[in-house]
Amino acid sequence: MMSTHSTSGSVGAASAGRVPIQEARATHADRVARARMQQKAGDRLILAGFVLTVVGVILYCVACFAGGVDAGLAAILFDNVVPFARATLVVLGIGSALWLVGSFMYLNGTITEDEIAGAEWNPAAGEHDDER
Amino acid sequence: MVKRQSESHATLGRVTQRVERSIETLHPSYFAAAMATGIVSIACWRLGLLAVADLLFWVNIPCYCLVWLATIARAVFYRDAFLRDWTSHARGPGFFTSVAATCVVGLQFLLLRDDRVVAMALWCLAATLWMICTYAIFVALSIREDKPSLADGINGGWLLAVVATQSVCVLGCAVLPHYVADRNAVAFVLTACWLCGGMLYIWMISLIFYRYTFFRFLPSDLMPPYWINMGAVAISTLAGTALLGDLGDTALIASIKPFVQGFTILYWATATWWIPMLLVLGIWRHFVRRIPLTYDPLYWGLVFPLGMYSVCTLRLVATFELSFLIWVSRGFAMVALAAWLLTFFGLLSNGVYLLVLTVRSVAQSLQLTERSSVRESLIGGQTS
Repeated sequence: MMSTHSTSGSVGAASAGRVPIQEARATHADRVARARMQQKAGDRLILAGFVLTVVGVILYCVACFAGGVDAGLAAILFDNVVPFARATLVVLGIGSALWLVGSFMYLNGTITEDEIAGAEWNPAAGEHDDER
Repeated sequence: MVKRQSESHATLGRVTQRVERSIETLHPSYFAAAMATGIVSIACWRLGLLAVADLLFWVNIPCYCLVWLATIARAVFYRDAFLRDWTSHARGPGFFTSVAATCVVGLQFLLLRDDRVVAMALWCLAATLWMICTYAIFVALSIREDKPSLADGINGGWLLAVVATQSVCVLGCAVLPHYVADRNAVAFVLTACWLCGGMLYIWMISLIFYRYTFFRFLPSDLMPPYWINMGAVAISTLAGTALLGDLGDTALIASIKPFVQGFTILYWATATWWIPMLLVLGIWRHFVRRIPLTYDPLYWGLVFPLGMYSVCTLRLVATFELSFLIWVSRGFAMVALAAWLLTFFGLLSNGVYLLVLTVRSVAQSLQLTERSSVRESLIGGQTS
């Protein structure tokens, strides 16, 4: 980032509204790296969410089968009629939430990377838009 | 500024384009999502997991309605693509999922809500759809001039015809005796339906097994609907137990009881035989030949047999007093529930994608508005 500043300082002749080429490249590289990091983190969260959810489902089923009680969701959550079932539902909920956040991060990173790649592929169009 | 505005429009355009494309390319077997959700819900209900059963019921009703809406939209706006599917060897049999899904939803209404009227209405709809699908698809495939080879034309999805036939029998056993006075006539019609399903299974599985063993078989050929090989016999087992349980007191079923019992166990044994085979083939596909596990609507065709196996085993336990099998049913219910959840996450990720696109578009628009207001205030300051 520091080098970007010095570069933009040295190219003093650059007209307002135009982005000097080196600065633009540095920004692109930075954005790509950030998008990839987001994808990686999202990927890990999705995997963790999957595992936690499956574990939650299995534990919930085992708790209910062992408890032998035909209980509704409200009875499990508020009255804890089946021991451990409430805890397993919490695990399930956390797993699902992790998956959702992970998916959001992963897809956001992918779309950002796609957009940058699209802009890099046709830089003339981007410059033209900037000039306008 | 113009670039930002065009980006925002482009994002919105992508959302619309994606929705339109999804409707245009909608697979006829998307009803398998309702089939799978419904049967997992019924498995949970029968095993006492009432909370999950209820939750899945409330997920399944909008899912079933949405798939109908999308199918109708496709039939209206993309009529050519819709009609082409009816004569396609690969996609045509997928229409049978509409029959099975209708029956499964009907069974859910009957068991979870004790609503016989809706269940009966859905049985009538399913029986009509079964007639249309059976005699439209098989006739269209027969009279088509350019036909694919056996290796390219046949897949596990063909067995959906069996699933549809047996599902009409299962729901019929549960609702028809309450509406038709002549129970013997009901027993006759439903036994005929059950036997038709068995006949179709024997024909089709012979071709599928022949295709497995005598033609090239690439990992990409082993699609998730191959699990219907097992699911079709599992639902045949369920139909057999339904005939024995709900209509066992009729003169017809009483006279052929040992035959129905024998065939029911034969179907269950066949379903059980398929499970290790399909598991090994799945391991070969995904772990040896490295085909990535990514979401495909066809995966619903994998969840349904798992849930159906759990339900049919439970009914078998009750019919033949085989209490040692109860844990098999419970185990499969757990596997089916986990598989349902993972497939549902896959489906949901499409929705999340649209959500991400929309959020980005809104964020871009907000940024745009903020910038223009700052600009206007700056211009206002300069002129004053």
